[in-house]
Amino acid sequence: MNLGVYGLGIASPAGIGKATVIERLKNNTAPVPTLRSAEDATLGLFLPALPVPALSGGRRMSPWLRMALSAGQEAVSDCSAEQRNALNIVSATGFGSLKHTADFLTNLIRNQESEPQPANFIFSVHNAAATQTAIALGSKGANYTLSSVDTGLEQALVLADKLSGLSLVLAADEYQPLANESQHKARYWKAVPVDPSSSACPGEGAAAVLVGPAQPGQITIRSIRAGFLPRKAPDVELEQAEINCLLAEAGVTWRDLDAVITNASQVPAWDRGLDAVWSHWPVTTEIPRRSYKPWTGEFPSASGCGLAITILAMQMGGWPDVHECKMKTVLFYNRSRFGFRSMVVLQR
Amino acid sequence: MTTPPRIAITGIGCVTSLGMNANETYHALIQGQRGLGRLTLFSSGRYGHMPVAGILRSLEGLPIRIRRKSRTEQLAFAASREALQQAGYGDAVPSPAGWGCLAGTTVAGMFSTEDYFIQTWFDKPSAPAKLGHHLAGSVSQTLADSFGIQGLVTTLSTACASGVHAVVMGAALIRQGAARRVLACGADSLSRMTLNGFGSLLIMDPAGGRPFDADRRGLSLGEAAGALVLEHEDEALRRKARILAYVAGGGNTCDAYHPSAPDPEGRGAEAAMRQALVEAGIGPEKIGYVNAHGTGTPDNDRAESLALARVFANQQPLISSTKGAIGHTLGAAGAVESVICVQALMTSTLPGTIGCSCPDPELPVKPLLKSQTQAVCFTMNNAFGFGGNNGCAVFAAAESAR
Repeated sequence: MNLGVYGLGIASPAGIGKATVIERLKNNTAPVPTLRSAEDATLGLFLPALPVPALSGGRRMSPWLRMALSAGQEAVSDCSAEQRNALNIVSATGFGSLKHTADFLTNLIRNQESEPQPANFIFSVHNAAATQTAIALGSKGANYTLSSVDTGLEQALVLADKLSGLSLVLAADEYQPLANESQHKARYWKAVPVDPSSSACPGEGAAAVLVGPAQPGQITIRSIRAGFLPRKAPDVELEQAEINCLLAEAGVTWRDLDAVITNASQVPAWDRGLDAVWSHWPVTTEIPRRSYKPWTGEFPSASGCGLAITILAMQMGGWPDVHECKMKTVLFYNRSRFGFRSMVVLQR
Repeated sequence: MTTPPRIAITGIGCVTSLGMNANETYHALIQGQRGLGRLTLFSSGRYGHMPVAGILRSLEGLPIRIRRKSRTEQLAFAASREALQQAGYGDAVPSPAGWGCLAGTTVAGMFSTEDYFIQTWFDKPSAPAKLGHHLAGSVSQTLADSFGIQGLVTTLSTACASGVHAVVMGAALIRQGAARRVLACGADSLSRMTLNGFGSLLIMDPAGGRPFDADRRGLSLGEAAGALVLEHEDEALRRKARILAYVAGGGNTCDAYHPSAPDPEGRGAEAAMRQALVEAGIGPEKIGYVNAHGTGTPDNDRAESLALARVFANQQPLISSTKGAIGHTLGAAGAVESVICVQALMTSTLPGTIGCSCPDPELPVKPLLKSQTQAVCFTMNNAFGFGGNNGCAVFAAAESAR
């Protein structure tokens, strides 16, 4: 694999738009305190700054759709009309548009099927983000939507690598009180320590990366793995072999790595697999290892926003609190408690 | 330049309103049976009179751990297990890292999500796990967990094109070296959301789906699952597996036209079919049978007919839609109908368009009304979805069948 990054867009707790995120990265102002307000079940954390899409039904679109459209349009801002027309779109999401689903079902139950709402039904489908982006951009290339509880953007990159030409790879998920309430009932958040420095709090966001055949001077995705592992203690030796294989595919070694960015959540129960892998790998002690979670919060597409933030940090030439880090060659590593694992080698 | 590897199909499986496995379903289809009936899975005051293709037979033969999953996951498991068994694999696949799993679904565990909502609304204790089933990703996750697959595991959710996209992308993953084998599946169960949603769009036919008929008024919803085991041909030959057919090519385009209506000229559908033919390396005259998307809605059938007429010009192959018999099964449709295309190649018997008695004279293509015996070398499957997602797959007969 040798995918070049042609453009990037982001709408997340770390900021709406690349410029805001870069500014925050430079000042190391992580957005977690903002996210905490999500606990009081307020919706639309980012909407005030997100424009109403100039599309049919734009005013009724959920935060999920608006975030995805905002990130997608930012990523292709330098594309010509011809490039947009032929663009492939591969989008990823965990829950899709929970708001439209919840609104449709609530209305269905409240009104006993008497006033069905077609707009909520149409926008509730998972592919709405990819197809609405295609409508907004006039993109008639391949159009895929995938759903995964974790590592969706990385899976989408694997699919995009099989397509020819430019591909807009998107990942988005919205915060929804309903899901949060359900997670509370399932004691999902009970595992989280009440610690203001912990990043394990709900989040939402969208990230978009425009990729295509790599060209000189670009940040490139040199190799990638997206897999599903049995949910038991990791086979550390096998995992080390896999990482070595990934690095070899990228033409680099451990010594070339400037940083490892992971999905560590600071919740011991959730990080068990991740910790097991790294604690058996002494060489990593010399390489700065940081988590993107303080910049994203917890949601199915968090790794997508994490990857976008990592790319921005590489463009900037450093991770917020690691000033000596050149961020030229980076390993982006996710090992989720749901069994998904992704590894990406990026080079500037 | 090296020749791309051929993608062998070594196992098929499906569960539909017509049968609990691929053979039962196909036999009933060829007999001209119609699997539509009264809605029994849940009650609906407003749309309960609409005929649906529900699976009435018990799913109780499934392992207990699967019976705790959503109905869609149960259907996906049943079809996948049949496909893997036919391919000669047991309950756990060998070399799991070389396997990918692509599941297609539209509503996934929506039926469970609805229960959660209803119970929450009436202040009854609701099981939080029910909302966990809402994740469409849980379909592929359940399959990977069940069969031990460790490569790329993901769920494609491109509305009604999901199933065929799983097949097309599964083949692409093998062709380009990202996997050696792929379990490609499509599954969806009936739900209140889809019944009321399609009802609100006024595209359900109270008389049952009548694809390409002059009096067609819409679709009939259904539930089903279809699964195919795809392998790099070298792998299939090495283990002396029986090759049922090949995935010869695939196409994927987007109309970029409207959130729910197809491009009225069918331009995106046409482009997807042409892409699939180019990838298969054949001209349109080689296609012997097309399993059309053919939902029975006035707009879809008109747009698809125009596209088919342009692609095939004066060499129209035999075309039928099987949705009048097994309903529109949304994310499952593309996978189930891919299984039907494979069976058409294997048996040299082509299914008719159940429900269509008087073909619409204004449509430029004429559907095959009754099943017909005819050997074909290539078949094509179309599936189109909300938002303008278009998918097309071309299948080739195994050498033994040519």
